[in-house]
Amino acid sequence: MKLLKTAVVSASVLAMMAGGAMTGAAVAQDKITLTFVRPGSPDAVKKVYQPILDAFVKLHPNVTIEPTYMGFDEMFQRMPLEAATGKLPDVFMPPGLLMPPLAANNVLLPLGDSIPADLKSDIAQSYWDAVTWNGQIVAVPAVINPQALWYNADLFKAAGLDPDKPPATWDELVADAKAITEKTGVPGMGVYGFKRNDVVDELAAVVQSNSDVWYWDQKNQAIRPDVDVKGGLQFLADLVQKDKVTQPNVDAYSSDDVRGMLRDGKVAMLISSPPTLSVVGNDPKFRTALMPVGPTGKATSVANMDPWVVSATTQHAEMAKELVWFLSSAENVNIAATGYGTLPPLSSIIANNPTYKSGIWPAFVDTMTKRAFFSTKPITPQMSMSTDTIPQFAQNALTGKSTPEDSIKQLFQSYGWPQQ
Amino acid sequence: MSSTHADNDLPAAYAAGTLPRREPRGILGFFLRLGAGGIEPLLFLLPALILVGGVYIAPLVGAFLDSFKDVSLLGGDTRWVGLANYRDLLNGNVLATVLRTIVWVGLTVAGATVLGLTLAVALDKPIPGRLFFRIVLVLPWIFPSSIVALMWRFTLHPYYGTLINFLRSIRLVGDVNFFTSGFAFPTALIINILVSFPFVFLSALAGLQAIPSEVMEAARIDGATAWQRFRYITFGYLRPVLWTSAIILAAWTMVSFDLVFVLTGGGPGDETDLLAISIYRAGFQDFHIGLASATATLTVLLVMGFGYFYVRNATREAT
Repeated sequence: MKLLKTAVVSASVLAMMAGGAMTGAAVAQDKITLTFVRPGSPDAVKKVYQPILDAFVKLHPNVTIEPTYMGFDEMFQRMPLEAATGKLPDVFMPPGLLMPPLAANNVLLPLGDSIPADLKSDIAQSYWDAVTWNGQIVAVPAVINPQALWYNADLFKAAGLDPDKPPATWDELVADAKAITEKTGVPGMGVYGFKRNDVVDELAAVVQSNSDVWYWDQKNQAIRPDVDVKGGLQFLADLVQKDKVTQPNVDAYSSDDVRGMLRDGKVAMLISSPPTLSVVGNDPKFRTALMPVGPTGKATSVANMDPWVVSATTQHAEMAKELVWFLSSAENVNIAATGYGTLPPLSSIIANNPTYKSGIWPAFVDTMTKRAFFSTKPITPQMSMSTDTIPQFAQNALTGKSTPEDSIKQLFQSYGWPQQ
Repeated sequence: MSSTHADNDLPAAYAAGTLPRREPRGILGFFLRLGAGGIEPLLFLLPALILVGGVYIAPLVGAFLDSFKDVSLLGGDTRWVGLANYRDLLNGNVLATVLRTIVWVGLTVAGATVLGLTLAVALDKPIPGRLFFRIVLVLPWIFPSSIVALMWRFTLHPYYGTLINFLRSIRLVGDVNFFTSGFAFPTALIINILVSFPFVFLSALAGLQAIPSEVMEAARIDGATAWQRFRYITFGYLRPVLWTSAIILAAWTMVSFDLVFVLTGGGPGDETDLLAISIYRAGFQDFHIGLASATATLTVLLVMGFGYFYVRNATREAT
C-alpha cells in the first residue's frame, strides 16, 4: 500500500513537473504582438511614447508592440472603418468624441473589475463616469483638455492694460479686446469658425462660463432648453459682428490657425486648451486665465477627455490591459504629460508635480478643480453627431449669415428637437 | 435587317414567308447575340464579369439593401426600416444638396470644356515651347485632388496664404477671404475647373490630331474665315470627343469628394455641401450607414443617367 502511495505521489510530482515545464515552455514561446495607436503630432508623440513602450517590452520580453502614430483627423477617419472590419488596434486612444460611438457598438473591452485599485482612486469619479457605458467602465482617462483664456501679456501692456488682471467677465473681455484692438491695431480676440469640432469646444466653453448646468440634456439627447446656448453664440457673434474685435474672416480659421496667430502676436486673446502650448512655446508672455464669467455669474467649465481603450476583438486581452495599466501608471503619465504638454487626470500628479503649479497650468488646474466641471461626461453617440452639425449653424451666426437665434432654431429643426 | 427593306416590299415578303424578324434589343438582345456566337465569347467575358460583379455590382446591391435598414457602420443590431431613410433624406437638406451638386457638375463641365478646348486649339498650333506648356497644363490633373486642395488652401488662406499675402503686400487686396460665406462655392468651383480641364484638354488635343489637314486646307482655299473653320470643321470633328469627355467628367464630378472636403469641409454652413460629402458625413462621422446608403443610391441613379448618355453616345459612334 505504502509502495502504491509512493508511486502515485511520485507520478503526480513527475506529472506536475512535466506539466510545469510544458507550461513554462509554452509561455516562453507565447510571443504576443500588440498594436498600439496614440493620435497627435506623430513626431512629438513618438518621442514621448516610444521610450514608454520600450520599457514595457523590457518588462515583458515576449511582447512586441507595433505602434502607429497618426494625427487626430486620420484617427477620426480610420478608427470607425477599423471598428467596422474588426481590425481595431489592441490598445489605442480614441479622441473623446469618438469613444462613445465605439462603446455604444460594443467594440471596446470592458475594463471595470480589473482596474488597479491605486489607479482607480487616483482619478476623480467624474472622469470614470465619463468613460462608463451601460454600467461598464470601458476606458481609462488619459488626457484632459479644459478650455481657458490664453492671452499675450505684451499686447496687454502695449494697450495700457494690466497683464496681471486678465478679464474676469464677458464685459471685461469685450472692453479689453476693444482697448487692444484700438491701441495696438492687433485684433483683441481670436475666434475660430472653420467647420471643425473645435468650434464646438469654443462655443461650449463660452456657454458653460455662463451656466451651472451641463448644456447637454442626457435624457433627451439634445441641447438643454434651459441653458442659454443662444446667449453664448450671441456673445461670440457680437465679438465678430458688432464689437469687431476679432481677426477678419473668422470662418476661415481653425483653432490651430488662431493659435499660430497668438504666437505671432496677430491676436491678443484666445479660448483654447493646453495643447496651445505646443504652438506658442514656453514664452512667459503667453499666459492663461480662467474663462471670463458670463452675465449670470454661474460659471462652470468644460473639457474634452481622451482615454486609453482596449479593442474588444483583441487576441491578447490580458496583456493589452497590462499595457493600459502601464501607460496609466503615475510615473508614465507624468512622463507623457510633461513631455507632450497635456493635463493628466491623476490627482497625485497634479498635487505633486511642480510643473502644474506655475506658468500656464494653474488656470487649467483651477478650471478642473475649483469650478463645477463637466468633462466629456456622459457623452453619447448623439452628442458626437451634434458636434458635427453645431459648427455648421454656429458658422452662420459668426459670419452674420443668420442671427444666433435663427441659427439655433435651424439647428433644433435639423434634429427635430423642441424649440428653445 | 428590316431597315434594308422598303415598306412596300413588306406585304410581298409576308406573303412569301420571308418577312425579316425584328431582332430583340436591349439586354435580352445582347445576350441572344452573345449566345449566338457560342460559349467562347462568354468564357472570355467571364473574368471581367466576375470582377465587375464583385467589385461594383455586389457593393451596389449591398448599399441598396442597406438603404432600407437602420444599420450602424460599427455593427450592432440591424433592422429593416422600409423607406424611413429616404423619408429622412427628403426631410433633411438633401434636395438643396442635390441641386447644389447638379450646379456644381454643370458649371464644372462647362468651364472645364471651354477652358480645355480653348487651350487645346491654342496649343495645337506650332508655337515655341508647345511641349512645355502641354506638360504644365496637365500637371493639375496628375496630382491627387486632396494635394491640390491643400495647395490652394495654403495659397488662398487669409492669414498664411502665400498668394493673399503677396496681393496684400502690393496693396491689391485687403482682408479678403475666398472661403467665407458667398465666396466658398465659387472658389471651390474655379479650383475644381482648374483641376478638371486637363482631361478635356488632352481629349480635345487628341481629337485635333485626327482632323485631316486637307479638309482644313480646302476650307481655307474656299475662303472660310477662322471662325467658320473652327465652327464647322474643328468643332464638328471634336463634337463626339467633347460630348464623351463631358459625360465622363460629369460622372466623375458628381462623386467628387476630396477636393471640396479638404478645401472647405462642406462649409461655411452648408454652402459647399455636395452629395459625396453628405454620404461621407452620414456614414463615417455619424456612422448612419442606412442614411448614407440611401444618399448613395440617389447619387448612383444620377450617375447612371450620365452612364446611359455615355453608352448611347459610344454606341452611336461605333455604328
